[in-house]
Amino acid sequence: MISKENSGITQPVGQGALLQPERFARWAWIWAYAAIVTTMAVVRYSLFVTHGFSLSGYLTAFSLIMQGRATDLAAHSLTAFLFHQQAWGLWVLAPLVQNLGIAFLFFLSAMVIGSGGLALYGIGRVWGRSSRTAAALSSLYLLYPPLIAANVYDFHLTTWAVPLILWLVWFAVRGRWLGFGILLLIGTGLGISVTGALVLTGIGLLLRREVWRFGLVAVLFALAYWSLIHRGLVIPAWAWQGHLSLRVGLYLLWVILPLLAAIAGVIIRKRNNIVNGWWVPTAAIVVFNIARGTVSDTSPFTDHSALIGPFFALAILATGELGAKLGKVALIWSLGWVVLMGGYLYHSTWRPRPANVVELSLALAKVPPTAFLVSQSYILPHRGVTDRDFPTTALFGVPIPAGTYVLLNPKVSDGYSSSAVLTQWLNIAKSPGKSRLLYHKAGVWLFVLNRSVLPSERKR
Amino acid sequence: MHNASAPWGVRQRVVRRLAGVGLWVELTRNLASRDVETRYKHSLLGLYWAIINPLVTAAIFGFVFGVIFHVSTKPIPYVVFYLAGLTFWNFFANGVMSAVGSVSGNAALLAKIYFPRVVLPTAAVLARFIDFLFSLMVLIVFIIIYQVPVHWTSLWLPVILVMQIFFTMGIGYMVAALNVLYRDVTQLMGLLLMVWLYFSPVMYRLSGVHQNLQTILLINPVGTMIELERNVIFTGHVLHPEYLWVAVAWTGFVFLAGIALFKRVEPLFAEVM
Repeated sequence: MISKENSGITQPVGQGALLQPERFARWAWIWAYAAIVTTMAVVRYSLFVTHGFSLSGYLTAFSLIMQGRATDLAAHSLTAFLFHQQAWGLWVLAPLVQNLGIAFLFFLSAMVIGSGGLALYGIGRVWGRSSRTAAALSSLYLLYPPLIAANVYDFHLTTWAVPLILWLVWFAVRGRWLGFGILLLIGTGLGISVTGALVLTGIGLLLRREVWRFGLVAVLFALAYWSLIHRGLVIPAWAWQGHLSLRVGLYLLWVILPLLAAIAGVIIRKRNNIVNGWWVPTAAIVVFNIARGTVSDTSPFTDHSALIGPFFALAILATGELGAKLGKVALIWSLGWVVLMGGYLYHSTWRPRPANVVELSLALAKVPPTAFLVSQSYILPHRGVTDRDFPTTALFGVPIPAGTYVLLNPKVSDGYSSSAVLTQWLNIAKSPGKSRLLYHKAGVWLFVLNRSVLPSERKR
Repeated sequence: MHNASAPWGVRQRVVRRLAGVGLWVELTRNLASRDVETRYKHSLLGLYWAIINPLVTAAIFGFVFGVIFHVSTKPIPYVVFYLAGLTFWNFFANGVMSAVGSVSGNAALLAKIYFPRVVLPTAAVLARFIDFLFSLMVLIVFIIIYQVPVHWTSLWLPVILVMQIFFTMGIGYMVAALNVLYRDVTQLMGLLLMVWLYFSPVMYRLSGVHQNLQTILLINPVGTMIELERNVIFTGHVLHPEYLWVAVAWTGFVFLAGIALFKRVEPLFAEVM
């Protein structure tokens, strides 16, 4: 008989805490999330469905870093925004992505973000919430559309701040300084907006009596790091022009409306913990997002929208038990999210997916790896880690040199390039003096520029 | 007092855990070897059956698809192409089918002594891995006979196989636990594996099917693993590297969900059996 009775240990062999079903189930839940999100991201990628510019920007940054040309980050149109974020995490990711591929980035991102669900569950249990409430909020966190979509439809390093903040709080409520300190250091690697979020996390912790020391350390450390490394505090200017687009509507529906509903709900129920410190960072991020114009000029799936997630979840968790009725509301709310996500996925992904993937792949194979390429944002990431990409739009005012390849699929929009821009590129394709046509099939155009195209010549 | 005892407590916990793992590994190894021994005991050909089965199947399918239907898998001869796919598929399918009955078929053993029940499906899958190693030798012989060039990327094979073992064990834990409650699982798995086989690129080349269908087929982690295994051996480059990470994610999920389900159902074993 194999047991440990003789050694005075009553626990049977192999039945330690590691083998408890609950622990496996929680990890399985996170891996399920990672598997679904990674699959969605990879399928989108392999079907040539639109990715935002950020993914191409990150891939270009990785390429420049691996070539030892990090100083060019500021000069390159696609990476200038990353240069200003001052995220040293890029240097850690660059060799990993170059060697393990873009899909590794999707997988890692899904795992990192998914792990936040575990942290939230753990915090809930430490704060005395029932397993049901902690699990419900953890599931809502995993289903939070801005969080999934920011990395399924694109890639943003800053969204990693969401699980990071939750793990920071988890380490604080467990009184673990070492883990807290390590995560605080890692947080500085995710960019300037995350350093700001670290300050807000510190404020949230500072306002809770049992962990105020952790909060003080976080605030002081993040402020010190900001003043030493980042260059001053950027006060956002009001930029929203009041235009109500589909994206703004979704943002209001998924972020602002639930926020107001939750606040109203807890006020009506008159909980003792209605007024808790976590509403302060939540409100700060909402104000910041509206002020900087996130609502109007980007989608609800940006990294900035996602940053509301952890603070909002912590504010709700600190309020108290969800109760049976609120639990049902949360369930309906999350199911609503799934339905809306499904609708948006169809609207933004399945409907506009290119039918000429084979032709696109063939054309892309004709572009030498060392050549510069102008193309739409859903095509560029398929070149892998390279610093030789130009998006088709005229957003970036840089000259495009002669000898650059241009790969166009005007049948499917990337959501950024206007029809005027695409028409201009097609006119160049049809002018033998300006370009040399290499491939034209099923609406896919591949040609080489005979002369450079200056920013002043390019349409918007 | 607390500070003085803390490091000792940690050390004691680590030693205890390592001792537990050691016993766990020993038990699994013993059960796996017993499984292989009893499987071929009193049979004239013994372990040769592990070689004969894939050989005969490959010969039949090689004749039907390669000679009659002229399915092209150039530059790899169809027999070698199919045998490679079948070898890796068989490990998965046989592993799962062995795991199904591993708990319900050992009722007497479970009644006599206590040991972690999860060892049974683990040992069942690992026993089929031993069979797989024999089949792999047959594949190597065929590769030599047909003079198919093998690439150095074959060195990645153990890494992919580890992933496949974890995936097979995960499914094995699930079906072993469910089979204790519902004996239909054995029949159901037989059917499911048959469907799964056709959704995996075992007898056809993935690049030969429509692009959209390729995407759907590659979501299947077993299909991706078989494709990867064949790619690293015969072509030296992976055709769909992005799906490797999809397979990794699903493998992690299936393994953890398998153990979680097994551990949850485990307390019911005594009542049901």
